Amino acid sequence: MTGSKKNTRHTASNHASWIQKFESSLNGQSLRALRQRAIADFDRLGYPTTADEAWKSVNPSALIRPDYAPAAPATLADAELEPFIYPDLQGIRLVFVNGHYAPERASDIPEGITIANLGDVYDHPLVKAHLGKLAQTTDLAFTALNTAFMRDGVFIHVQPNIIVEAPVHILFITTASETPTISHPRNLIIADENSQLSLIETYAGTGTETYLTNAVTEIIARDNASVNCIRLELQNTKGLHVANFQAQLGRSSRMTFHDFTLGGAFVRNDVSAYLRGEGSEATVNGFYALEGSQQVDNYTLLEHAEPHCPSHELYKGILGGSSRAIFRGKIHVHQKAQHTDAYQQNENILLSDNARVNTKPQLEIYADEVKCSHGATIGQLDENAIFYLQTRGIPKAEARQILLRAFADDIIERVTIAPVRSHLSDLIDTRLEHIYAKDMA
Amino acid sequence: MLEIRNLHAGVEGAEILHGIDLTVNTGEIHAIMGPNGSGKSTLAQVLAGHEAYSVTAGEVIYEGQDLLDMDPDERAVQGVFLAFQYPVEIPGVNSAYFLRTALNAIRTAKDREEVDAIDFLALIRDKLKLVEMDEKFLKRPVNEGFSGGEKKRHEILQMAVLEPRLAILDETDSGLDIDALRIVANGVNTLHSADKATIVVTHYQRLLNNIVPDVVHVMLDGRIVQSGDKTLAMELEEKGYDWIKEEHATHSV
Ligand SMILES: Nc1ncnc2c1ncn2[C@@H]1O[C@H](COP(=O)(O)OP(=O)(O)OP(=O)(O)O)[C@@H](O)[C@H]1O
Ligand SMILES: [Mg+2]
Repeated sequence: MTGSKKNTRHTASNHASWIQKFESSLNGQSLRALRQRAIADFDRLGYPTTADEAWKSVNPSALIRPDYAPAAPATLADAELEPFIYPDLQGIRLVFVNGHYAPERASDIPEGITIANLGDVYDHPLVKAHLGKLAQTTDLAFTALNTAFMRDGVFIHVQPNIIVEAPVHILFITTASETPTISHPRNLIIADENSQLSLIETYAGTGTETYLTNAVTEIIARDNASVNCIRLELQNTKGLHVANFQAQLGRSSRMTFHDFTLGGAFVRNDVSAYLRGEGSEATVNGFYALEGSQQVDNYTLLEHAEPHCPSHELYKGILGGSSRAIFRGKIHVHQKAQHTDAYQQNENILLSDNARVNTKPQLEIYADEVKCSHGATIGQLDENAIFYLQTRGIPKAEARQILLRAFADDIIERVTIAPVRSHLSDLIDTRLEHIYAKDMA
Repeated sequence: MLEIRNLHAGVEGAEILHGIDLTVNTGEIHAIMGPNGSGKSTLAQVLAGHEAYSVTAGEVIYEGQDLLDMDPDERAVQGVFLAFQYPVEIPGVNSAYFLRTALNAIRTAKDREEVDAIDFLALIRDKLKLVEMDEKFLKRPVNEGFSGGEKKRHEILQMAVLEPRLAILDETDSGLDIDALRIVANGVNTLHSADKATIVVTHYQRLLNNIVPDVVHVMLDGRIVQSGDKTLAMELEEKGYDWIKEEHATHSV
């Protein structure tokens, strides 16, 4: 026994040969060095345990199954895809099934924008130059795994001065089967100077069996670019989901990110925004609605490296059953980042005595001219407000639903793409009704 | 319309109302006055059905039905309305949505058709005029950031929309400027009619110049200790509560 925390069933030599075998199934080997570095990092890191600072509050053992098989390609029936489509959204759509690109589901791509399946463009100079630069593998085991075994995903490059009107919707759907599978969606988005892009990511699962989706998205917003991201997680009730979202912002650029976590048994989100250009602005908002024994771990980082950057962060959650949410929000202000204006807030409503929330702000501030505020609330629905609504003729159940909705609306209303907003709104309505009904039963 | 008999109620462990008797007939306006902490709001909240207060004895009959047996929303459907002394703020729920949902909840419960957004707008514009409120309030979250006077006018707006049969107004005049007081009083008078009843809780005779009560009650330490016509309010305005307190103290020895 070495006493190491590594899972001993995986050995380094084993992994190197996996990579070779895996690569032969891919379109090109130009990422070999990156993959090998990543697998070496993974061998060093091992799967996380609760001894890891970043996994302290949740037990990641649920995620670790040595018997995961790589998810196999599958075709998706229209009816299986339909629940995850925004009915009124006119946009560009790319679909990935079990981690494999499904070209037959892709829509036409307008000019001025390069959109491709990452798996087809490993040799693209921008891919070679940027893939894996933001999402480092040195300390994140799951990102290392993704980098070693990534296959498909989306590569987007928006040319300078191009405004892409049509939102890009990318869907990653797992058709869960009896064998637990793992897939590693990987996305790289580069928005050049003065360009604008809206990106919608959906991660979902059909069926009732377990699987792990281990996604990584890297976004580079160059000077004065504007990137608007929405992410919806709708894994099935046994689905496991790990996602690492990393964005880098150039001078005067803007990035908004709205994250909706509704499904899955266990969800771990790492969201980082690096404000690396003066005057850039990041908005990172999240909403989670949990029931049963769902666990959601949100780990966010707003890194202010340059002066005059505002950041806004608001995470809100509704928890029923014996669900569990963790919110850790780190704001790191470099010495150079004078006139930083960072705001962070996490608010939670507990609907049941067994639901739990851990919320932890973490501020590291090295500049002196800084406005930085943070706050967290954990509470129940306001009984006086329920009573007030009741005295106006509104039944108690409806009154509660109205208050929950109002709480969620605070985030939903910030989604600027109307067809997405209205669909999310319906989805969350149904979800809240469901959670509420369960807790009252 | 309303008959309260020997009502005892309070919060956990402490009785606040020590046996209230009160009869309000259809078409009447009653005023309830009394010093701070005498139990006026407690009575109002008990009538509206607040769960924090438990009734330990007595009964309340409203239109021949046991009021205490009904949920708060059911009472509203049956036509009971309470204008709160301290209206509750509801962040994230705008006033228009709130009012329409309330109106439609009541209509649905009575098997009447819901009012659609367009008809509602016409209806609400009419009601806004009555309380001289700006339409912009409709877009704001219920009571959030409203001034004290705006909250009170918003209560009357709700009353105008819901058209209750029994309205209980708990210090709706407190914190109102002179113009707002006139507007609120005028609103209440307009909404009152021969087939309705109104109970106004107030500290000031001033309001009763505008809303003329048929009966005035004085509440003291959880009991109604004196009732009379509108001249009782004038007497209180002039002399304060000490004489009643003394009289009541001697009576209860
Ligand atoms: N929820 C409660 N918990 C504890 N005490 C309460 C509660 N509600 C009322 N009381 C007490 O009951 C008494 C009566 O209060 P109430 O609000 O009914 O008085 P009021 O006559 O309306 O006074 P005011 O004129 O100041 O509005 C007070 O002593 C008050 O502190
Ligand atoms: Mg009171």
